[in-house]
Amino acid sequence: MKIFILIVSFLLEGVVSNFVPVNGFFAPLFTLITLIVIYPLFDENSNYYKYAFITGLAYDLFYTDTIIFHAIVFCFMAFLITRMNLVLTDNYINVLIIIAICILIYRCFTYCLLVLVSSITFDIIALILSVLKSLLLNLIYSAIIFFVVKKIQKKYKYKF
Amino acid sequence: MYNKKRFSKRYLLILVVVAIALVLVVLAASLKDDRDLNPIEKVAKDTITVVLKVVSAPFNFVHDQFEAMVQKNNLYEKYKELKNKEEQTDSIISQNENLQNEIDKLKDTLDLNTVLSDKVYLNATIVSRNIGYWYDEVTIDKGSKNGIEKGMAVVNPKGLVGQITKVSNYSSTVKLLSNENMSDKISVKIKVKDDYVYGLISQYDSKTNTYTVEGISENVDIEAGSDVVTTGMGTIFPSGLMIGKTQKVTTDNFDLSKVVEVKASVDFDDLDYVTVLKRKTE
Repeated sequence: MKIFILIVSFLLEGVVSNFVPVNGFFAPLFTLITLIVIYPLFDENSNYYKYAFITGLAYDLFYTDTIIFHAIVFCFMAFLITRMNLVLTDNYINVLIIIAICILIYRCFTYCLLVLVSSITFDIIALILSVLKSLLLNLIYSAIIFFVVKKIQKKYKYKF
Repeated sequence: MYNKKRFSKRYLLILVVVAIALVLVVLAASLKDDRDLNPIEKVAKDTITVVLKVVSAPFNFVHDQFEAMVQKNNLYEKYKELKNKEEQTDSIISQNENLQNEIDKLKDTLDLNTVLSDKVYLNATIVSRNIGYWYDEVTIDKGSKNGIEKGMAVVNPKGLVGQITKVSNYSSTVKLLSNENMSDKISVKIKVKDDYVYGLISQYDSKTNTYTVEGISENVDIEAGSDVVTTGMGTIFPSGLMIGKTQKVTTDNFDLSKVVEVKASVDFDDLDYVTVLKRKTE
């Protein structure tokens, strides 16, 4: 079931990107959001890291033409998610907080690395805008995924 | 106990530093424009293109129906506009034929096989747009099996969109002109009365959808609204591809040359179908 939710979100990110403007106000990050929301469905952290790595690798191969960049970034995000889940309980408000922090870190991290390795000039406004653009649509999507995950948890009583 | 803790902390720090260094090296290598996709990447890219086309089909259908509905409301205005254009079409066609004849005759006289503006057209659909946000790239559903090659120019009816940077068998990646690295140093010419002045695009501003053109002589008068097209010089783009229209003309900090702000003719937020141009070499 975890794989199914991840695959659907992964494909949906590609489809939705086709309907939102290139530099528009909505920037989908459905794969990362799903990775955050489905964390309670994992019994062991090691499994969660494996999923994060494979999802990142697929993201590299299918979407961004980079080599293991997102695989490592997603593993790093998974590490942060596990740490944050140690101090925050599993409810929607806390999930929203984790999502907001993860989007901020993900955007800053990828942008700073890109500035370091390519000839892009650092623009703080562009960075802030990218974070803001990523928030609204992804928070709405997280509500849907959170609802689905809770339904699954109730139905299967935490057994996966 | 204390030593063990300190050792593990130091070990973790080294691990983090090594990981960041590894990410930087890998990222720098993978972002190179002249990099060819490896066979695994090619298969992955082709697979996702097919899957996305299938998954997007119902969404595209709804989107097209909605657009058709909106367009139906403006049918009469569209009809009037097309009627006006139709009246001009005959004269444009005859003018075009005359010019083509002249080009053919001149090519015969000069024993030229190709000119800078010769190109072959390949139509394509965009299947995914700018995933990852920073890359300013789109993926199209045509690849090397359809005759696409790295470096080809990509246009839409409004003008130049970008360039093919990566090619797999049935899909390709287009780097948009809105990308900072892409729009740097493209040779363009600006129409001034019956003549052209030449310059280089130095940057693109996504907020205003404008390019900055530099390297233009100070003593040339450029009016706002003049056409800006590619020159065909260098190996990147064929000549005559629309870039935009001049918006504002200023001088540089030293009052030595003019800096022209050009409004891009292409709306990078609204790209669905594109045409890939292959410059004729023989």
